Amino acid sequence: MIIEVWTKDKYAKNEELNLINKFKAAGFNLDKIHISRLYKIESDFSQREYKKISDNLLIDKITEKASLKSRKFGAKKMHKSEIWLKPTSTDVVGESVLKAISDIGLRKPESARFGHAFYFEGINEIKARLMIEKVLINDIINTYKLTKVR
Amino acid sequence: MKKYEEQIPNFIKLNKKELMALNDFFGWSLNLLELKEAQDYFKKIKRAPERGDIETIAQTWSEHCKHKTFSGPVKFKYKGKTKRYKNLFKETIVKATTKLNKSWCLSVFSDNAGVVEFGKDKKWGVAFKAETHNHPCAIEPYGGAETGVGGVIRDILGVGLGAKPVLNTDNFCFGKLDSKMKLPKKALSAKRIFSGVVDGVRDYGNRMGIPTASGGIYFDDGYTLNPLVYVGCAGMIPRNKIFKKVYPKDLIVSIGGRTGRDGIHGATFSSANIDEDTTTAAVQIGHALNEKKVLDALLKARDLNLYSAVTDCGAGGFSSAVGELGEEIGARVYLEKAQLKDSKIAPWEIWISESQERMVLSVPPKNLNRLKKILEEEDCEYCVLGEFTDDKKLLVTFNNEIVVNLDMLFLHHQLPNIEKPASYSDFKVSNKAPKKLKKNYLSILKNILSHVNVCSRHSVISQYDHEVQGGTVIKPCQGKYGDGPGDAAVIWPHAATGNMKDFSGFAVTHGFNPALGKINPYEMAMHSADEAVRNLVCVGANIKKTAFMDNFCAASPKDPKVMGELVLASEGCYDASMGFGAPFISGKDSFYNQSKDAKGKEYPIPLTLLISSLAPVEDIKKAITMNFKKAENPIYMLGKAKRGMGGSIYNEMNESGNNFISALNIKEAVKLYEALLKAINKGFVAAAHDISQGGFAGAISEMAFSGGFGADIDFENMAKEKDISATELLFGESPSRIIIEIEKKDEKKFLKIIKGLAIKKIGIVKEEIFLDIKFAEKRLLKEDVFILKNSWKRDLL
Repeated sequence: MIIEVWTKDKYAKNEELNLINKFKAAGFNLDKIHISRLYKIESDFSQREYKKISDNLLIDKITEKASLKSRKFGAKKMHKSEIWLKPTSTDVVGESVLKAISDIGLRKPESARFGHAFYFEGINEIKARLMIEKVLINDIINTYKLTKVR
Repeated sequence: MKKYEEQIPNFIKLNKKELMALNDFFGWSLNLLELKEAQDYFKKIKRAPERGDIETIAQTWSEHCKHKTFSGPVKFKYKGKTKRYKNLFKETIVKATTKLNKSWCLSVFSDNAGVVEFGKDKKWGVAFKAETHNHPCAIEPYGGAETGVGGVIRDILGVGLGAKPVLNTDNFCFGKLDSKMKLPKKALSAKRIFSGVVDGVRDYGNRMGIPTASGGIYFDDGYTLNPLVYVGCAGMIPRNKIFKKVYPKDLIVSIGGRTGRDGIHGATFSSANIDEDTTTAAVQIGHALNEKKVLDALLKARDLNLYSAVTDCGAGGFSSAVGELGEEIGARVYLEKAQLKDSKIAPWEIWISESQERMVLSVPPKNLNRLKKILEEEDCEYCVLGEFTDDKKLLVTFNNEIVVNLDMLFLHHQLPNIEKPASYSDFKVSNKAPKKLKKNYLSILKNILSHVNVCSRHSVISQYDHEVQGGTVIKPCQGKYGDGPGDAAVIWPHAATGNMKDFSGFAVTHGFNPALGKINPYEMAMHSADEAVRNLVCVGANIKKTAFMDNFCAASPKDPKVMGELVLASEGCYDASMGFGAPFISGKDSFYNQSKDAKGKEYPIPLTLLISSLAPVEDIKKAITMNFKKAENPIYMLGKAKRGMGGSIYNEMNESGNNFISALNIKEAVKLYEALLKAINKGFVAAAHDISQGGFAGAISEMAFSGGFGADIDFENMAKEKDISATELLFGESPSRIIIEIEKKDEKKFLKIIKGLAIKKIGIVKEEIFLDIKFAEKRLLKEDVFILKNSWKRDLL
């Protein structure tokens, strides 16, 4: 199960602007990007238990939203990039989540990994790949996949 | 016992070519002489080595663990003469410390960090250490920087029986951020490395609850492919915990993180140049919270005397930590008892893995249960790996299969070392008057203030928590607006000592200028030491008890020119140490900082020497900052302005035609600094700021805009060499000079202290916010200090 967490639109501006500036510094112009945090949890939890994890552990209800399905953006066409640490890289956040899940009274999952999703608006696939490889990932420690989403 | 299957059966029969091929295949970074020595050993004991045997030898004999270049023999040719060193390090750096023989040096060059005496009751020591993490930061800046910080903190936890960290330091060298250089495939841009490194240092230091309050950033194209990341740590240790001893039958206990396949070959990686095929396994990600658990548990156990020795699991992992602790007696290790991240890991990998956040303790069996209780209370994982023995052997098994079986004597005392050739040809130097430029002095000053090596570091420093523990008395950013560039940090470590009545503190700072080294490596070392002492005295530290650390980074030592520069800089360190009466207490060296550029050509870094310094501040209440404090206070310049623009920021931006570096006169410098310290202790000095990069004009601008005052300056009365030009007076970077603001009411008393010294009144602090500089009736420049500040205040990140 992947739980996707993102900052509500009215609070997300700074985070997005910071990233847009990073892209600019690397020579890429971009008007809009959406950022999510991803938690991949391997266990036999029920939907209700996953919801408990997302609501009680992973989000700040005032500023963030979460979904057990991939985030939707209405009719907009965009590219979604999922970035994860390689299995051989230490995942500090994943390790903390793993322990915290048992601390809130659930069974300890098989594993918990942390990653990011980035949604690019108005950028073609080739350019998106270039931007990801130059700014967002280091292939020494990361893997990523790029998909078209609507 | 059954032998582990990863044996290298034909090792003792291989010829030279085959040995080297094997070495390259496994990534051991051993040279032929070392491989032959290992081969001879196994021939003598009549058995083929295990994979684990050779891996252990490779990491123990690595540049990182044995510092074999610096502590090896050198044949140095210079000016038609040849000089031989049996051990360059011992005959320069260590020699000065031995000769000076300071009673306040409590532990030097024998442990994970140097320790000097601290506090009025002399019950404490300050431990100080710097590390480099250059290669890891080049390929994964965030993880490399994090684990660098984590590593140097563990050095402090592993000195004696453990010190409590109270200060982190960070000094970086990066390529220029606007460089147009074509990078080789997979190389990261300077900007990305810079940003990742800062993030890593910030996250690890902040999460550990240790203030990061002293450091520097330097940009030069020479570091584009090989950034340098020096991370340091200072910690407090009770005087009766400074020494450790391992006893036979003590248990080998590993505490902290689990062992995984991350960090394989980190130590041997330090003996190699970075290239496109650099292994990814040599990089790790840090986990500060795990290290914090180790810190808390360790210090509790230390105070209950539950272990007899401790060291960090750094480069080389268990192999290095257990090997070093058991060097004199022997050790027996059962690897199946290790706590693992990954079940697929091979036994030899468990042994050499450099997984982070681990410490190894030598624990008397009777104390084990009490230790376990503390570790469990702190949620700190642990395992009992084996025990120390008295057979002087290192025997490591995994489920009864032999992984390593070596004699400690061979492992630690039979590293062969080849005499390295070193040579140097003097750089061509001109000392003619600097060319007159079309630009006026004011526009030059603005350009210098906005230069990347001078401008504000606020955007970086403000990311670090420099207040945690509540003891940062003099902060990295100073002045009325909290953004002025301080010379040194002053720490009052009451959180560690628990003593709120003793106002003893210590100051930490650094001296550094690779641009000088490109012209004269000897003077670079001298000037860097001078800057390090000068910065200390600027905050009121007792420079008579200055302790130095030498931190060298260089390209491949296979190049005689690189070795020649190293010899000259080491000799400079010796002379500076003797001259200032300041012993070196610890240090670090890192070689092979070179890579192939996009065209496949070797791209080495310039020889780089960071001299870090530490000195006591007898009364932190008397420590001072660098910004102007009060209008109408007189301004003095300490020291004589000397000719030469060599190594200056001005020269980097303009063709002056003069690259002369004025020689340092240490005897004169010491007299000046001691007089200044006396005046500071008497409360006569309101502000002091050293003249370094950017010259006089840069330093006085910083004092003015950080205080929100102007200043009227006249060079006429300044102590200066004959025929010195206005350009040299404004922008020259000759050594041993400090600008000081004196309390007007104390000026007469101050004059008595400085009688006969090259300390002259040069101006006055003004309420009007203009910096006005004249020389012989002629105005050189006049500008609003806040317009100057606008030039200086750049966001690097």
